[in-house]
Amino acid sequence: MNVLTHQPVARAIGLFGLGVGIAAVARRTLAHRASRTVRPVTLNARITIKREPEDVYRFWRDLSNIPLFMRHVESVTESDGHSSWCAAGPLGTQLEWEAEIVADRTNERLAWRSLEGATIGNHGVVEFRRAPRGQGTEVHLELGFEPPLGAVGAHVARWFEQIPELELAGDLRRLKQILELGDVVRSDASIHRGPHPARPVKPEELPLVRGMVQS
Amino acid sequence: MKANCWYGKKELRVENVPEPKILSAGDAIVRVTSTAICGSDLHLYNGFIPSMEKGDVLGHEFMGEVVELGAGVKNLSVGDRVVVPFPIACGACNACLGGLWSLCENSNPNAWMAEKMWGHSPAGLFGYSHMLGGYAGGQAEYARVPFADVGPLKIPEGLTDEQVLFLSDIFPTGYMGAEMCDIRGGEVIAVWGAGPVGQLAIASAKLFGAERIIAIDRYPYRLDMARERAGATDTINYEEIDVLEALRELTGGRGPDACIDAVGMEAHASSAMYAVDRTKQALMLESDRPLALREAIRACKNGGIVSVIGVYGGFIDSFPMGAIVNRSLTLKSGQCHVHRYLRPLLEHIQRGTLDPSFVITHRLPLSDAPRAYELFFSRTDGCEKVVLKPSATNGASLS
Repeated sequence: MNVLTHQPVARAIGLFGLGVGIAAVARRTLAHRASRTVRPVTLNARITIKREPEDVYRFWRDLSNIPLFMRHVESVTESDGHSSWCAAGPLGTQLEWEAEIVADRTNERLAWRSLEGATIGNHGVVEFRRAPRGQGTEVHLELGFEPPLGAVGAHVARWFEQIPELELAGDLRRLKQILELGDVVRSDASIHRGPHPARPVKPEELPLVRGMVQS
Repeated sequence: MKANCWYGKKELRVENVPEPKILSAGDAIVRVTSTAICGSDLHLYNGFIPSMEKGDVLGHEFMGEVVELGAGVKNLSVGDRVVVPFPIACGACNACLGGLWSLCENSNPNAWMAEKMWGHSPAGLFGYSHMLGGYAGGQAEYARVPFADVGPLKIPEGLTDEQVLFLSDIFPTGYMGAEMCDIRGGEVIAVWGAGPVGQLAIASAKLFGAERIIAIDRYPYRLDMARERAGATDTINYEEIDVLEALRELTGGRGPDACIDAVGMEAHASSAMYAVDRTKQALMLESDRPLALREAIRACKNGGIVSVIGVYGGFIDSFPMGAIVNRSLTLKSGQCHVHRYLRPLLEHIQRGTLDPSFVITHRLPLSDAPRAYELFFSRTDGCEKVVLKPSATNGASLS
């Protein structure tokens, strides 16, 4: 989760000025100012994907697929029941932690939790529910973070509160694109981090297109 | 390559930008042979659509020749001549499979912006803001077309660009506007706005078998076109006569069976309410001026249908909900599900039952795009519809 990606949010919504989004952001900010103590942060997101629960579970259960759709996660490797996670953290930091699967109901539910020693303790639960009328699978994701105590912890907690569920919803949208289409969908602007005009990419910018399929 | 780029309210520049490249296996690159300016482009031109970035390439009505294909494209070949629908649709999600192509669940990478504004996100569109995807548009020499197996329609030989270009947007949009009116034969249909979409809504209502079609606008040349070319039976110049009174007179007091709003968010009216809405819009108290829509709702007969194909972006005030509830009106709307209409409407063009090219009044080189927008916006020189030619040189008049 990159703080920079939030500039277009503010710009896009600020441009309009009508304040639908602003109101939400303002509430969040006010709520935050009211309590500066470190407390766990929970984020939720959900999406419906037109694939069988078995397919979605199988894709997710291979944890090495997670960086394909979760933007802040750089790598996950699994061995002997433990997984090693590497992710972009607050303020340009790099986070690494070990985690274990704590619940695994095939095609239904998967839960994981960081092990002792993680800078930012965290856990995740994802559930796969068959959607009505053959619409596929509902994916319900919850991520929890337990920032460390102290001033640094307060910073980290604030960062997590400002990287709201929008980012997580984007992660699930990319998962949906991969499972329904086989690839992440890219517009001319979306391949760039932060605001960028919608115009064709310059040759030197092509490496931005992560995992690009060559013609 | 040359492309028409947005730099702010009434500020367009035809600039050199990089040529598009294949970014996904399903992409095609199209060399644009004809592209048009849409009435909805004027909302961008006038700065009413949020989430634009300086330098955005505009344009969502375009066609051309396929010059390059991603590895995964099966239905097209290099050299094919295609028309490209303005909504970008993946063809695989529940919305696309249900025929709701302009609501594709996968084609808007900036869906979260649209969700903030509208609750859920529709499809991404070419050249139409970042909350609708951040895709470069087709007012350019080349365009990248994602999901090339799904959207582009191959054009058979023997048809000119001008005959088929409007399959990209305004012909299906006008047609869907008429289709939403549930015409079974003999109805009275009133159409607010005799711009290009209004003209094609009128022509489509005639195809569906409406008996009386009433065009409402304030420009005599547009009303003339509606009567002489599109098939309107009656016209109302709202600057000269009271629209509601005229519609009562034309319908024996019942009101039209269905009303089509082909105007949208920047409506004009000869009433005090116009000043009120303009002021609210300037103060950002409301984003859209719904003058035509309010009038269409008031005019519609009891139990009738109001079909909204004019573009609205945000919020309106003084919405006559009481009329809708107490008079059992049905409000229908949507960005056109263009893919659904491509083949049936191509057949109409081939059979000659409807040739949408009658709306064209101006043909200009792409390099004249800023002037073309101003002509269209100011309704100067009888401007109804501008087609831009990327291959033509600056200053040439193609008309």
